Amino acid sequence: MPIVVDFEKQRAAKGLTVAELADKIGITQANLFVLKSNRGKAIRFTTLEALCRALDCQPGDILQFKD
Amino acid sequence: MSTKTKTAALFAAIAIWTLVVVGVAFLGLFIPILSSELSETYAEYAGDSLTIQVLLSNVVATGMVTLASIAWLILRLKNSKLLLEPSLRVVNVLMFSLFGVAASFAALLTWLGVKNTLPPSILLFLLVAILLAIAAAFVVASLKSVLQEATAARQELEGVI
Repeated sequence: MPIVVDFEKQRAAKGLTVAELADKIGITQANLFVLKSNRGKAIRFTTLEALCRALDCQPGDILQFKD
Repeated sequence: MSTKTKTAALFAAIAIWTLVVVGVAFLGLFIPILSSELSETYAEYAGDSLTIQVLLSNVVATGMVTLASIAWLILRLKNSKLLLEPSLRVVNVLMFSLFGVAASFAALLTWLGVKNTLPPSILLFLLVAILLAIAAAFVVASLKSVLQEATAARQELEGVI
């Protein structure tokens, strides 16, 4: 899929572990890993909102279009 | 799924499995006795014990497969597994078994017709049974496409995070 979710830079900047980030967003670590490895088929706005809140960023900072 | 629905599904499955067991008893005990009695009692069926047994067994066996696949689907519904790929295979079995039921009744009707021992009431009963089975098979075939769509939608939803 050309839409890529990449929040590693923001996560590292915030000093959050994957477990802590998953806990903050309210999803399982397994689902966060699915997102991280771009195996998810879609992302809910609520998940995106929680991700942006947790990482203090904009959706555009973590979503990229790579053709 | 609510507990009430799950209980209803469980009772339905138990009732259907009981019918399947009754069907096994029919196949093993009742049909052989009935077919030999018919061939001994009626001159027109003399020597046809095996044919009668095969024809009646076909009807019961295909009916049992139909019932078993319905019970299987009900159990999958109860266990929240209806919207998964394997259910489609069970639906295929159900569809073909219904066509099998229709074919079994048609074979019985043809044989009775050839023997010239087909009273109008039996003819009517068999025709209705054949039409019902065919109609049910086509209903199952059309519902299968709904199940396919629902299964695909569920798979897609599972990828949503």
